[in-house]
Amino acid sequence: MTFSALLDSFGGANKPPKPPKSSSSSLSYREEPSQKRRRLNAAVSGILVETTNNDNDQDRSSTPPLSDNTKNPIFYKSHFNLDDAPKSSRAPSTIIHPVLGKVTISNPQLLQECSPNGSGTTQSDQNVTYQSLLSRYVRSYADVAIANSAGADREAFRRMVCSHALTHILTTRQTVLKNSARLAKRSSDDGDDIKIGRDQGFTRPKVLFILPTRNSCYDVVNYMVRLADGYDCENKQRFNEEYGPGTDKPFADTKPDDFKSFFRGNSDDMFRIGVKLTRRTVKLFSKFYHSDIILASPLGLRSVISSAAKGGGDADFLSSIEVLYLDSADALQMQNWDHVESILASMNQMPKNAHDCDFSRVRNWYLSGDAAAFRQTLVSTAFLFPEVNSLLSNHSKNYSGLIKFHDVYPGVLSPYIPQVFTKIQSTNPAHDPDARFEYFTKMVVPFWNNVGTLDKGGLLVFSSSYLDSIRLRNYFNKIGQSFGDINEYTSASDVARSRAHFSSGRYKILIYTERAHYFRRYSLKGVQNVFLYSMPGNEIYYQELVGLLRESISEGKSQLEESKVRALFTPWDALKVERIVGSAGYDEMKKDGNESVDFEFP
Amino acid sequence: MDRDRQHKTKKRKISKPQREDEAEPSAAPSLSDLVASIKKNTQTQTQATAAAGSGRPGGVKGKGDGDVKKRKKQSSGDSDEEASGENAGAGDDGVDEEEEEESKSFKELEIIDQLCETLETLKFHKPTPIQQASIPLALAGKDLIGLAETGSGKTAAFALPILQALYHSPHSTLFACILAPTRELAFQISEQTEAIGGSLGVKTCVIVGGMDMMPQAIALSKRPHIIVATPGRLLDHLENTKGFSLRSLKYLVMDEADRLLDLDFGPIIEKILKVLPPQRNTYLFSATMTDKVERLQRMSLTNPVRVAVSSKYQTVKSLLQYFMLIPQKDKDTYLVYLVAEKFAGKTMIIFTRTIMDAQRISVLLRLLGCSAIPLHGQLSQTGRLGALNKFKAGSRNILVATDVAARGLDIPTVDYVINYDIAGDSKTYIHRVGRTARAGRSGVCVNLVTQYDIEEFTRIEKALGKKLDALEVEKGEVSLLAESVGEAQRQAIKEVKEWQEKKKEKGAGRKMRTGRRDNMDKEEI
Repeated sequence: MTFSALLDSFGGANKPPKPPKSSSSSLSYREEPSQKRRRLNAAVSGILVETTNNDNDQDRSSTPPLSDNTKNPIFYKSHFNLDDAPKSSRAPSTIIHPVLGKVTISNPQLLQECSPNGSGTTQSDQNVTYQSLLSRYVRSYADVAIANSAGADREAFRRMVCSHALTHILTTRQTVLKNSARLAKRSSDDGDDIKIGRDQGFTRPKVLFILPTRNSCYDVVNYMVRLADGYDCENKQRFNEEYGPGTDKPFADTKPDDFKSFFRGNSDDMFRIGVKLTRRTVKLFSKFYHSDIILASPLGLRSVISSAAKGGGDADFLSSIEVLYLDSADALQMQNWDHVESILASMNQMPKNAHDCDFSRVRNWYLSGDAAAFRQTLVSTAFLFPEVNSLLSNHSKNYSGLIKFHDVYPGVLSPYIPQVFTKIQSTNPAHDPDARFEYFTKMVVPFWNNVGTLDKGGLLVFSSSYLDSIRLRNYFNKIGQSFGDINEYTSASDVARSRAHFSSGRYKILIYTERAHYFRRYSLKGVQNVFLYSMPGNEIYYQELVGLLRESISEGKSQLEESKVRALFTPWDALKVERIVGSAGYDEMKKDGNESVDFEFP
Repeated sequence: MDRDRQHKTKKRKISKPQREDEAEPSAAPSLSDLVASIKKNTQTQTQATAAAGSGRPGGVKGKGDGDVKKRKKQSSGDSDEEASGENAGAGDDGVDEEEEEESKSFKELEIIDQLCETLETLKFHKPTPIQQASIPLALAGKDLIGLAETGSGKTAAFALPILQALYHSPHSTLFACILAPTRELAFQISEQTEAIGGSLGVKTCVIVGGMDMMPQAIALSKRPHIIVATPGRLLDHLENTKGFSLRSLKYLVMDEADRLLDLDFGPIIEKILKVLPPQRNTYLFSATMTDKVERLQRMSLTNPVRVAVSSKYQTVKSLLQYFMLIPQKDKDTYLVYLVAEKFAGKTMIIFTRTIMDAQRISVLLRLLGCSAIPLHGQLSQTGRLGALNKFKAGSRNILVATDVAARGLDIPTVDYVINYDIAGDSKTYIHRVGRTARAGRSGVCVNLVTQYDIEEFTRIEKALGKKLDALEVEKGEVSLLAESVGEAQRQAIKEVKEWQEKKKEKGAGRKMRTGRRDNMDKEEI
């Protein structure tokens, strides 16, 4: 069941008249902007009210604009107004939830709090939508990771995060301003001011968005500016110039949709920008230490942090991040996952310099170094992969716990092309490449020689790893086989030559890497056999590779009987295989024991 | 002068009567004045001694307060001993006082049970004199000036009242600030305070130079109860760490104030004092009272009570103490016998009471072939340092010193200390013998006691709480030296006179030693 399906079945299809309370939270994103706008206006007016007549401390609930949206401040208070981080129980359990689908939860309380029957919501079951629950999790400052293959759903989540981030900043700022005003009043009265609210972190930035491309940043910022209705936007011109779509020529129609939507506009992956919210303006390109939100690509941020290691810059601006959003983690993986890891590692550390911080107002848990336990980490990805799982288990220290939404995969196997998946035993992920290579040289290549696959040509050898592709290249060189090689570093002319020779049959073999496919999505001609040395992470690529084969069959260049998809996988590829064969199918496959086993489809 | 004298005599008051009864009346005023005029140039020395003894010349105001206190006590019907015990200023009446103190426990000082228990586990069973004296005053909310050495238990003396006050207002943070001259001392104080206040869950924070500002800023913003700091870094934080102020401070302690000022922390402390709330208790501890300390006191304390305690009961176990009862006229001979025969070749310090004697004896010993060097207040600073360095380096093994060398100067291990003249009081005595038997080594101290010194000597013995053994010598061997010593004496006197004239001093040559022992105290007045 996909996100959209869920959304339809619970939210869209039989849309019941919603009670006002849930309407603000049930986030059907078409109508959301106007609602958010209303809320933000309310928050702003709240700030103004607070600063002007700050002597009424308890009047928060009585300000009408906020009252219809009290949820967030309540969540905010309950999450942040603690002196010490409580210990969260860390026993992740995966369950199938009637509304949420398959979820992994590290803190059982999370499910209770937000369960349809829980105390949190008063509505009956059918009114609780997936979206409203998701939104509730996001706004309750729990860590949320969603794996969803539908781009539109991830887009919705991103917007949800945007509005949550803005609300968070406005709420915190409201408190800070209120306390500042109260302080100013106190000191002018010259009374004793020992009781000062602790309401801030070491540094100003509160929200960090890690985004893959300038275009995604453009979208996010535009969306937030739109939410912050009534605010002026400074440096908008410059932002449009540097981040806007420009006059790029459109992609060829042959490119798939997900590719087009991801690489549209400015797809540069080296950027960082600070956004500052003042009373009346959203200022773009503000200095990091004066920003509320930092939006950056992993590379762009890493280049600031790593120069810190050499003594140049610093990572102190990451010390007080309270909401971290990783957008399109799958795309970040294709860029350079190391950068993401290093950014996460330097999050919420003790700052090295004071940066003009008022220590008397720094929250206690910042001082005691527990900031990571209060940071909300939000991740959206098209699919889960081991790196993102490890990142979540290592860096999601949020005491509220983590909820991970799994997609349920129906499988993308082709109904009529023969597909054989061979499971290789490998006890250790580190030995995985060796086991794979050994099986390939000892079993696969001799088999090819016997059947004549190599002589026939049109063999596409796909590898998800560049290093594996190098190994294969060296191997084919050694055995004197003619082959073409397309990877992410191959020059355009070499690619063109390889493709031409492969389709003409001069090259019997073409080595192709996943990342090359990710960035280029070549439509290769003359494919008669597909060999997946390792599985693609994204199941769409599998479909596309099989599609290449299907295309040559339909063009009559290859016979269905002689064409075949063959794939190697190890137990460590579980997530990839599950996406291809489907969740149900994989349950069968993972049962088998220690031998190398072939699974034949269909 | 008169006023000062009054204070001094007040201090002496308790012991005076018996002294006048027993002591020989040889201390003729004329002689004392004479000696005093000679000693005018040894101000530092005598001041130091005086301060150790009890009050000192400068602290008129503070002293006055102390005395008021004392008078009250006395008039309220307490015994003399108790009064002195409370005020703990009277240097030489220690024995009675100590007996009195023995009977008091922390509990009787009105320390709360929680703290008493901790003290018990820390093996602090009895309050030390300084604690005994200062804690009741501190608990009564007075500002204190404590004159006490390191090791006399003064950390607990100020920590206990602060902790007790903290116990009664548990929610106050940044409650007390303790200024210490060195980083090591700051850490030591912090450790002790945390140990004593452990049961109260007291949080302390050490703010010293040489460490990162940032962790300190974080530690400060956690609002510890007690800050132990060196002044420089504390001011740095007060000026540069946003959100840190000491406006809620209730107690300020300046430990080893003399050293704080010696290290030029004066201007910094002034700046710190400006930002502290005036409504606070201030305790100032110092080993000596200098003009600078007095200035600081006027700047920072309001109506302080002075508490002075000498650490006179402490002599090291590894120190062997002897006396020799000898006739006055043979004093030099016996000294030469000790130096040149009995202890030949060892490093030793000979303490004299006057500069003249120091000069004369060093010449005398040199004439007799010993490598002696004088150290006293009439030498220039470089001369003093030179003498000290020669002694330290071992090129001279005998240092003939006035009491200027008895304290403050870092003199390395010495095998023997010979008191050519008996120390003026037990405090000075402790300082003199403290030059030997340092750091666990053994040492020997020999007192030359003449017929005129017996009374003074017994008083020291009484203060020490034990009888010293007589050092047996072969009288025959000593008499063999008499002739050569006599010759050298004459030569030495001549040389000293020349030295004196060169110095354009109006001193009248060699002094009669009789009666001089009292003049020391007279001069301090």
